[in-house]
Amino acid sequence: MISSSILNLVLGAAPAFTAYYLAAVGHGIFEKSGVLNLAIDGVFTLGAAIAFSTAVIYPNPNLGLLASICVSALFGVFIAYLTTKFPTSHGAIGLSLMFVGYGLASLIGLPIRTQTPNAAWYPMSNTFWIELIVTALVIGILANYMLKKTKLGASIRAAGENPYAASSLGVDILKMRLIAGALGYALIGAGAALFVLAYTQSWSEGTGMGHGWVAFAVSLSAGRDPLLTLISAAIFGGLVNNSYYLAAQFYLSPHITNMLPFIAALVALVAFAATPLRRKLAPPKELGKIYFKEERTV
Amino acid sequence: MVVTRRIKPLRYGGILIPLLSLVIGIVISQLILFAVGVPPEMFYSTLVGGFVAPQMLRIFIMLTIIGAALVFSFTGSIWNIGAEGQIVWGMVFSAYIGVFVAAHSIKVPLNELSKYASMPGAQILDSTYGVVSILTWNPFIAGLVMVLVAALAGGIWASIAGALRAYLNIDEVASTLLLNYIAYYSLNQLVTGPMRGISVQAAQFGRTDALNNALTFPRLPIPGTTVTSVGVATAIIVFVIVWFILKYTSLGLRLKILGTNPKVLLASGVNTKKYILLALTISGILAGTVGAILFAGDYFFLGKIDNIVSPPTENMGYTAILVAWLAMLDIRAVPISAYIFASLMQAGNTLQLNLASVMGSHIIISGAAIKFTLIGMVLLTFSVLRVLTEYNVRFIKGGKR
Repeated sequence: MISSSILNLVLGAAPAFTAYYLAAVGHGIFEKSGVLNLAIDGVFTLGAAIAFSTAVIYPNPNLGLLASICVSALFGVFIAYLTTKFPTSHGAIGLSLMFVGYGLASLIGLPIRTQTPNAAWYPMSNTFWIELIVTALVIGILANYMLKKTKLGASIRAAGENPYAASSLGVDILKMRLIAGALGYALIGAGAALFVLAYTQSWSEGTGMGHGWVAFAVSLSAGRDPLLTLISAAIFGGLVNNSYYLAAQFYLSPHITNMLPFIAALVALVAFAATPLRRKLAPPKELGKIYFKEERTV
Repeated sequence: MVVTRRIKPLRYGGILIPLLSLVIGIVISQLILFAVGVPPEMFYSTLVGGFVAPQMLRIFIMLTIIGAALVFSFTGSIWNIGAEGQIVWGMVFSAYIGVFVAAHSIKVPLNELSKYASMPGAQILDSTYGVVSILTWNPFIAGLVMVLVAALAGGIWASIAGALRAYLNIDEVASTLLLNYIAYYSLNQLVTGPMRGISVQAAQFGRTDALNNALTFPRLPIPGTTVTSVGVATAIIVFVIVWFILKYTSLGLRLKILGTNPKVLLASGVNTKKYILLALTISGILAGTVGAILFAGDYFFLGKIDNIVSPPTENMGYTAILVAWLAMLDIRAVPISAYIFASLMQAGNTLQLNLASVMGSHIIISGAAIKFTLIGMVLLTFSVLRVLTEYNVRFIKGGKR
């Protein structure tokens, strides 16, 4: 009896967990390549809107997921290109694309939402939730293997730690960051699509807004490590999914419940920064710094 | 394509680049809005109208204040993206002073209500339920306290992010943004809980009671605008404070060095942590004042935020980032930049109304969507074009890097 309720508690958190986890792993991969990723929240919001709109027009949640992945990956490639090819400020590019994402999300989602508020959502069944968790685990393990054991992963990390040295050893920095951007943002897009299609199961203007930052905190508090992110994403997913249960238990208002993930995200950032974790899981050395090589005579 | 560092900075780059990015950003936004059904002629005519609309002054005043506040922290490379939250707390605390301290609402028996109608300082808020607001403070002092308390609230809220950045090195962009959302939901919690009013509308919709008429900031006698004298005075004071600190004090100089080369500051024995904390706190103090101006100048009551895309701050905390950046972080250019973006925001508001009347309800475009697209596109163009001020981009056949 007790075990089944615990099982439900765990399985029920699967959509929120998977959404945060995929977005956080994507964020981690992209930042490992040295690009400061402040556009995450905008693209997360946009991805949610696109997934919803697609799932309304073509009543198939998988198409929504696919559309969100494709558009988000394009954004990732765009960010990687602008920040690596030109000596632009990563922060400014990220923030401006965040606003673009917010704007486009409303522009795309609202007209469709006013016609049909119902899309083809993912089923709320145990089998689907188990599938989600398994998929998340597989993606996490693959991402971990890719980052730590393959030549590609080593090159991506080198691009983040010291792009100048990596470049002189023959690593194409632009190519690595483009790949990291595409992969990372594809995962962020997948997370966003699952957030709306599997977790909230409703879309209104502003759905997903701010939750990209929660994914940001989930990734940062686990040092951008795909396996450690499992723990932080599980905590956040559980918290968010059960926040209404907690609210009922402690007589909290829905406003406090809505606030909880953001407070938890801030606490996670503090917990990470105030403990020895920060030294063990240090960010890439050149994260957010302008990559510019002086012209060489050929 | 070859990118090289410029030996001399681009001539007139400080004017050319912002203007160029403004134009390109607007054109791209127009194309995007055209794709979702906004007629171009309507877009541009509304845009031009925004520059001469009197109500634009209201936004101009507030954007000048927040823009100056942001220039202050941005000078030290401290990216305060949390002006939204700071304004929200400014609103909450000025509303507390205005509705609960400087005046308060009481419930009176309906048969005695007529006595309050002619009583000085008393204002009947709700005649069906018998709620009267009784003024207890001098309106001038109350106005002053409301602005100061709003400033203090903004400062305290910003100092959280400041302390996190200074002592734990947590990126202030992420923390200020997270704090914005916490502020939004805190406002909701407060106005539906402890600050909920006793009049019928307040009890029904979850908002505070209305501000006593005597406490609302007096409006300037310009037709067509709701700009207040307090707003104008605050804008001038804030502008002078920021200009003075940055130009004439050691605090300003140290902030500038913090922004360009923090290692020099550390090496000369300056406590950089203190300056990081100060930059965010003062920035928050200045931005917080806008909360009082919005509350006692425009809204007169605090309501619940139903849609976090369009909070009562009217997204000005975000728009001011653009104001500061397009002024190239030069405080003297802030009013010009604020004027441009106030006009754009005003145009966005008008555009939304015009769209609703012309196109009917089948195409819904929210004001926030127009604002965000415009902010994002201009900022994006600017961030890319700004490269040209310090670098030279040449296209050479076969030039590959």
